Amino acid sequence: MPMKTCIIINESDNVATVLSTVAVNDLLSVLDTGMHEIGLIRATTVIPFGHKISLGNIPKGSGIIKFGEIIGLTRDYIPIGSHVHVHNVQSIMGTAGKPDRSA
Amino acid sequence: MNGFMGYRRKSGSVGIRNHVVVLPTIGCANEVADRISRMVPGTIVLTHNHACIRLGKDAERARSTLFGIGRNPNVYSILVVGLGCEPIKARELAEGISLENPNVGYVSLDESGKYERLIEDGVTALKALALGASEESRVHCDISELTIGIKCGGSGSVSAISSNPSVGFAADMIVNQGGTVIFTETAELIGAEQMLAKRACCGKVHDNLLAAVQGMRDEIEKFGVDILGSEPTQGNILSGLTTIEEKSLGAIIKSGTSPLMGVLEYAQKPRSKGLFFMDGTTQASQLFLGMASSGAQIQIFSFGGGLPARFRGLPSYPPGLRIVPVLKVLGSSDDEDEKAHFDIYAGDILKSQESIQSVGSRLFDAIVATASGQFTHSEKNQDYHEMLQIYANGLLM
Repeated sequence: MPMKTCIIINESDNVATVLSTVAVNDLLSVLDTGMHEIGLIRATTVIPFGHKISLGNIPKGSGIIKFGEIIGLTRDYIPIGSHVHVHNVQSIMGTAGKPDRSA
Repeated sequence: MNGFMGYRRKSGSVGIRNHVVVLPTIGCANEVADRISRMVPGTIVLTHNHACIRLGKDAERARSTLFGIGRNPNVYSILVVGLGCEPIKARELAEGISLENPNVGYVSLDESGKYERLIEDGVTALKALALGASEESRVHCDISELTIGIKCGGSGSVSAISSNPSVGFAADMIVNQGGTVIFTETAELIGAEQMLAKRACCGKVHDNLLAAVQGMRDEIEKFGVDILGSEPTQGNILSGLTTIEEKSLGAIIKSGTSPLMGVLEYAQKPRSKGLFFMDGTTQASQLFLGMASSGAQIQIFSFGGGLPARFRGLPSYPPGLRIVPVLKVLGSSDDEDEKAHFDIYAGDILKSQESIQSVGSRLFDAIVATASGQFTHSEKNQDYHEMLQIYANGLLM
């Protein structure tokens, strides 16, 4: 079976979008928009198709970068290879993803 | 050969289609305009929803839409059909259109006197206006003479990595070769307006963009809706979108990476080349009409996937698109069995079998081929037509 893949849109992104559902310990090929492999990453959590994986260790309170822009701030420290989503990221602009609404 | 084969108009602009159009001044004249058009083969009627009940800015939008449709370079000639009691009279509309297209005429009930006479006068005038259309021939034109309108729909996290960036890549190719690209949907900028504003060519455009988005937020608030609190939706979150910033950036990426040269009113024509944002609705048929009225010769509908991608007639939204063809792009590989109903399939990006640059280049080639006369999927397969829906967001009396 071919290796699973994830794609980054901008070279400064610190997350990639997984192109198939990922299990713990899966090794993924990280592709740029030209479908060139720019690295490998091992998943440390389950990540559903179309969701984001962290490409590095991201400190608490720092920016999640996708499309070369900050799309939100981390609620906690996010280790490399993790599922990045509403449970560990919050919007700067909006309130939908903020803890006071989920509480 | 670089460029495409288009119809060079007397005004200097370039058409990619060569339509003979009948345009009523107001909805009340739709039936008689339709009747006149049916009696002259090869002509099309563009009925619409303008009525005397529009106020202020909405009345101005209707005005610029009707003038804009008449001036769209894909129109070879145009007959305006009026009554005499409407806000924009047939003669005034025809005179305004004639500043850019001399092949224009009008008939009006107050001048013809009777309904039957209006039809006779209309048919005579329309036959004369249709006469030269077949003698027009295509000549070599430059990409810089193209204006492309862009819209996205059926969006999810996959459209932000397949269809929308591919459209953005093609948009950059158009702008880099001196052409013009228009995108719209003000509500879709909410959350990412600062990031788009950074691309503004100057302080004025920066401020105009933020003012347009703030205006939309104020309108939404009037309805007691907290858009920042309700976005992204549960469906978006399930598909992997985390924040409103991410959702809005995924929509904006379809505009490419070019500097933003200006913010247009609905149906306003750009004053220069490059990338423009048109302030207005996310309602598909209304926004396609707005971009057609601002001079777009071709439009692109970037689809994510899901159910909307399976409504085969949906992406063609016929209003106004009879004169301005639409290229449909499909992003989702889950809907691969529907790809025959689209012009461009971007789903292989999700299987890492095709690059964004490759899909974007194929779309650019399709734009050029369409501009040279190749029919789009909708032009070949759609025979369902609705009346034009002119955007209004105020009180209709």
